[in-house]
Amino acid sequence: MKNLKFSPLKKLEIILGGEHREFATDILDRAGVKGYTIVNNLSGKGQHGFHEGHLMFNEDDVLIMIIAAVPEELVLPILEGFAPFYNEHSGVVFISDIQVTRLVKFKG
Amino acid sequence: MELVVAAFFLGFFPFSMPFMLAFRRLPAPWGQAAALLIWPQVGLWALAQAPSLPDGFVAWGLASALLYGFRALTLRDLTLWIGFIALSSWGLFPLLIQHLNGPPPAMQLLGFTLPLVLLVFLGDELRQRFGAAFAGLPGGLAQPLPRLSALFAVTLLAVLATPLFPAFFTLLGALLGASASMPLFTLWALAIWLIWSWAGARLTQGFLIGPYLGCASADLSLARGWLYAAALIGLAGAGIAFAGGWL
Amino acid sequence: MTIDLGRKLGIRSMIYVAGEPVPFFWPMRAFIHHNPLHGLEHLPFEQAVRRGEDLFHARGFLKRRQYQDYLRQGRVDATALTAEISAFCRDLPEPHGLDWRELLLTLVTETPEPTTEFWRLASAADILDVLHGKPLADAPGQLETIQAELGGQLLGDRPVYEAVDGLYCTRIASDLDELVVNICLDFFDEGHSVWEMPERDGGLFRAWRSLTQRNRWPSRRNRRLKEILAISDEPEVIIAHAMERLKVPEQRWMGYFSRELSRLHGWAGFIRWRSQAKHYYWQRRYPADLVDLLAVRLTLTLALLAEAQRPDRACDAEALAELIEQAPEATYLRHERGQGRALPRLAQQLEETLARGDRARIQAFFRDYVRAKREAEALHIIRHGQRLAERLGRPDLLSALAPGELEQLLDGLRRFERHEGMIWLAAMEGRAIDDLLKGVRLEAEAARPKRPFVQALFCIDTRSERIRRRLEGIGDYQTYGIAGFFGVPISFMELGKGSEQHLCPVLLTPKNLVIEMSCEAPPDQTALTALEKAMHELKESVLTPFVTVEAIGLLFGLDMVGKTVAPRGYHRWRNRLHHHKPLSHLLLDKLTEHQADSIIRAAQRAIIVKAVELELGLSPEQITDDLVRALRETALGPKDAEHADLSEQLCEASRAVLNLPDKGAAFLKRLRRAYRINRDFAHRQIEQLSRIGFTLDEQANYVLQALKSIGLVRGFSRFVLLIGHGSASQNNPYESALDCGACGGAHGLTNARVLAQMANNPRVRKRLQGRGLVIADDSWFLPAFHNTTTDEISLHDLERLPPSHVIYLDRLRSGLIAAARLCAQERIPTLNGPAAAPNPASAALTAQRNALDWSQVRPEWGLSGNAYFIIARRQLTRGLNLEGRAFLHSYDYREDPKRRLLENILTGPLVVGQWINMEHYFSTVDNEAFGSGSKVYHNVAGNFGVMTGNQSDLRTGLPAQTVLKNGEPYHQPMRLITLIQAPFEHARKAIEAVTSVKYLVLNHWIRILVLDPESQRISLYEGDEWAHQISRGEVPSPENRSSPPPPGRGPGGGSTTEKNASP
Repeated sequence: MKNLKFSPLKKLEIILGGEHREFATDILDRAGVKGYTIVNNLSGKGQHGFHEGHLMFNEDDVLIMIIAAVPEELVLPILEGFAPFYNEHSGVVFISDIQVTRLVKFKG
Repeated sequence: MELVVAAFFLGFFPFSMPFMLAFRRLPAPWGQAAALLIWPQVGLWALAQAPSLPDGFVAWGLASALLYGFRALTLRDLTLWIGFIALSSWGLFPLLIQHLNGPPPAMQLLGFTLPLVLLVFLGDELRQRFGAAFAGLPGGLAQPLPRLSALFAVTLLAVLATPLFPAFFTLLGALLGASASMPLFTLWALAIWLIWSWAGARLTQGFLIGPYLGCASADLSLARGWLYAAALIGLAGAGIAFAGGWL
Repeated sequence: MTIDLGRKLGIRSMIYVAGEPVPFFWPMRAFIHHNPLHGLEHLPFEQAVRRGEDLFHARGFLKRRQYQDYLRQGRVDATALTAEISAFCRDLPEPHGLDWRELLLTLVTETPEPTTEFWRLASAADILDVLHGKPLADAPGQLETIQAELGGQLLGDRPVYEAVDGLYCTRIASDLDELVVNICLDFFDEGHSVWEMPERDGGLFRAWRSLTQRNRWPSRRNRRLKEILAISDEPEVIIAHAMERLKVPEQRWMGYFSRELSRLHGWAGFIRWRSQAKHYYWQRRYPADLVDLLAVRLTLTLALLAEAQRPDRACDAEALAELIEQAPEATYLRHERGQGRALPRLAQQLEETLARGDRARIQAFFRDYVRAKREAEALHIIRHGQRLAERLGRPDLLSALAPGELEQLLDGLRRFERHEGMIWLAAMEGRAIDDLLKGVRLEAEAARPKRPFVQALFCIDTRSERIRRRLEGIGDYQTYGIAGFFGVPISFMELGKGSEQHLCPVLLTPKNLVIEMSCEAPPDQTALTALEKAMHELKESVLTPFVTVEAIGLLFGLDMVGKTVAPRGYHRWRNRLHHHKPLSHLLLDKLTEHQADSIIRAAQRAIIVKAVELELGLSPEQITDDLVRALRETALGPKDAEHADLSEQLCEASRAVLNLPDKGAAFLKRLRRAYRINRDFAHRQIEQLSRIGFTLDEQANYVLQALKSIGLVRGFSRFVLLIGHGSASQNNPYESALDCGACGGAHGLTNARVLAQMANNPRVRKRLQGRGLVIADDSWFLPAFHNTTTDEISLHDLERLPPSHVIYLDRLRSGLIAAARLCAQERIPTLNGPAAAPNPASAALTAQRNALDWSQVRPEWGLSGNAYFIIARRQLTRGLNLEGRAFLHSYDYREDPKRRLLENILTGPLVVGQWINMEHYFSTVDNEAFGSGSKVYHNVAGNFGVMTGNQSDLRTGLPAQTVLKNGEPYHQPMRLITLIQAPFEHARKAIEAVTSVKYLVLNHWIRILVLDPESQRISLYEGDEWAHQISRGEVPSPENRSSPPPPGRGPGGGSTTEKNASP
């Protein structure tokens, strides 16, 4: 294996209803995220019945997941950006630590 | 001396206060109607006694008329509005009296007061239904009370000296006569006439136009409606009769 | 100034969520019926209506008087009404000797006006005092209650300027709206105006900002605007700054934004739609979104508030709160004045006291005023109460009550009157359901001796119901209902037009392109047509009015006179002057590679010829085929081509042109760049061409799906008519609303032609045979067009009809004409009055005139009156006169074991039907707020919407003429009553499988009935569960429920427990 340089980044997995896709990608674009992957037609199961707007997953609803690798300094702004949205809608954001080899594709 | 009396009873500024105070307190509608009819007659009589009417006096009258016309623009209470328009019209009397021809002046100038008296009675109808005749409370009377609104609108036209009603011919005749000798005063009088129209339009807008937000009220009865209509038709007839006479 | 990224994104997000209750506004060229409360569909119906009433300052139900009219007409079921009231009374405390049921029933049926509408201040004790003639005492804690109410009214979500307007009689709100409308009209102009707004490609906010900054008019407002705009060029920063200046706490921002956006909800809805319509040309060029709109609004708010600022006035949220705290009396009095509900008797005094501003005086007057108001309210309630008591036959009712009991009574009345609308609605729907169930035929279909003469497939549109009934009545016709686009979503490029049109419901995106090609040679432009074109263009020019009025104004006058005096004759004459649309074919099959290549080559050749003509000045004879070929190949070839020999050829071709090698090179460059004769573009063109048409398999699939979904799989008759519909009207911005919603607001003829061509294709039929669907050889699919304004059905593509069928055309035609006339005769009395249609022929003439009359504000009723959505075999409703109020979709559950077809029907046509129904509902109950008012005052704005007057919010919803008649509702506002004819479990599973419909059912946006054909059992979803009845005619009533319905709940796992109802 050649000398590959690993750089740490954060991975965001943003799960929300399919109808809000434009909104989510717009937020990511404005945050300066250089690229993202969209996984379509997910479905999920909820824990309980529904409360008004505050729930994790719909039963049999069509969800999408947007995966984006972002530098650490963008994580908080993006989460801040999505906070008002998730107050009223279902879905969740997972944050994890990852490493990438070609940093230039994700940063700067 | 007579001029001062005339000024007082024709409500020149600042003599409007006693009249307005009295007018507001008088019981509607008969009391107010009486005040409207009787008060200026004293002034007219005083004018008739005066040897001459200096230009300054006429100007004083016109200035008061303009002032009260403007005041009426912002008024929403019908009683006050009637009062100020009355005062405004009286301010024109010195100018008009000098150039009237045809029927006796007192009768002609009644053409200004009679529509206002009619309006007082219509205002009383509103007061009985809503507690007071106040533009906007509730507005939009055209839909729920069509008869009353129609009569209101036509009476207002009479007040504003629109054609067919005698006040129009009086004003027209007098101003045509005055235009040669007192062009500035003529223009002034025309401006006052315009302001009346403006005030009338605002009043109509406040009372008749728009959505109705109050509770159900009974419209004018047919009999009463015809009574008011007859009065208006009579007025219009008088106007035409006079016009045929001397124009 | 700048704010950090997280804050910016947070603000964006907040605005996105705040804008969700505002419904989309599609451009009216393709009018889409939609639910104005679509953004609130996640709430149960009653809650959503209440929130909608709040947000849009509207009414969600009709007035009581109007419901009473319905009761008198028999459209409300009296028993159901009583039952609903009983259900409501169940947990009301009963004062001594009072029968709530009787009281409320009398209240609701005999008193025309609500009792508790104006009740705010007076307490039960006050009322008793007034009743017994005692003077009113000062109530303790009154000031605090008033302060609390003021806080709720002036603070909370209400925009600051609304509160300021309410207190100080300024007109900031209307000025602000006017300014914003002007800005929107300028920015969103779609090529209509001659002078365009500059710099629009920077977005709405930036364009306006740069314009404002250049505005040199020396007014204080402009100065303030420039000050504020100098802070930043980013809308989010301005928004944050403005909200901070207004001192609104951050947790209230979202509610504040929601209110702001709902003020001009037409424009906001348009911007909202536009910002997510990425393929909309104008959005790509000139982007705009809600954040821009809010930034503009807030900037203007600050400037206008600064203008209205006086030392003693509160002009931001904090100051308002302080004012309420420290001077509640004056604030209350001002608020009363501003709301326009001051007591008339004291109104003048109120104004004078406030003008004086003396605090002691104000407080004294306040006490008097409040007392007078309480007295007036008490009198009002007593008057109404007495009237009610008299009707009940107990005139002493009020005076006999103790204070506590009076309070209970009034409380109960107040609660009831707030819930009244739902009760009436349920009772109306009960009657409608009853009527439907009484008329349906439960017996099985009789076996047919032979196949019907014609099978006709109509759109599910409610207007088809009448003509289907008539057609079936005059002969052996069998009709079916299918979605108006016949299940085939296409993107259509019409002959002579350069753009694509999506002919499918807005929920879908078509993947296939269909092109219309002319069969005839291109006609010569006649002189008259050219004049026609010139005259039309003249109308658009700025200078025209000054120049041409004298010259050719008379010609336009002729037009106007002709159209007005004799519309039919004039239009017939005019049509002769237009050149007719030539016979055309639809290109449906996929192009082979060879064909695609040929097309591109031909196009490129034509372009090159034109280019050489224009740029090099050669005449047509000098341009040889060889030259063109050489140019083409060089342009398409690799970039650094040889052009030495090319110049030679150019030299040969023209003696006059100097054959400098540069000229050749420059020309080639232009060919590649400007004329796009290059390899990449050719690839893209081939890709686009590959979108054209359908593969044979796709065609077979669509035909199979369409036929199976309506249950027509055997016994095909000689003619299978596919009837698309559309309307015809003049001078009607809403004409798209009368066309087919399933075709995206266009007419359905093209889809009909497409499906017919597919189904007639012998190769497709062969494939279908392989899939188990056998269509008889002599069966021919014929497209037709139903003009819903005149009810005429015209046949199309007749030149393709096989000779064997031509002899039957006569019978078919006369059948169609007869049906059309009978239908017109039935329909015209509802439109033009009973006298207009003494016989079918004159009815048909009147209908034609409606279509051509440019002064006709109501060419047809359209979908007004829609009430039912029936998914069943036609046998169920055959012969039943549904008065054109039902969407009828044919469905046979026996052909659909996997429930896929039913799910398709639910997810597509039913949702569209619900949108249409809700649009009509809300436009009827409050036409000014949810509908678009009277058509008479409409002005078309920028080609995509209408405004009332010369400047107003974009009007959404339906105009008054569509849903009202003489001011009273014509459309009966009810929720859509859906009937599915299928076994109960089959239907239930299908509903559960389609999420959107499941929530519509759970949240009570539609009423749903399932008619099980095997057990003849009817199931109704009521409350939160299914109620079953064995025999029909006894609709399950609310009294039979075991428990009262819970007040309101979100979507959840709806239990479908079976419940035996008492007979």
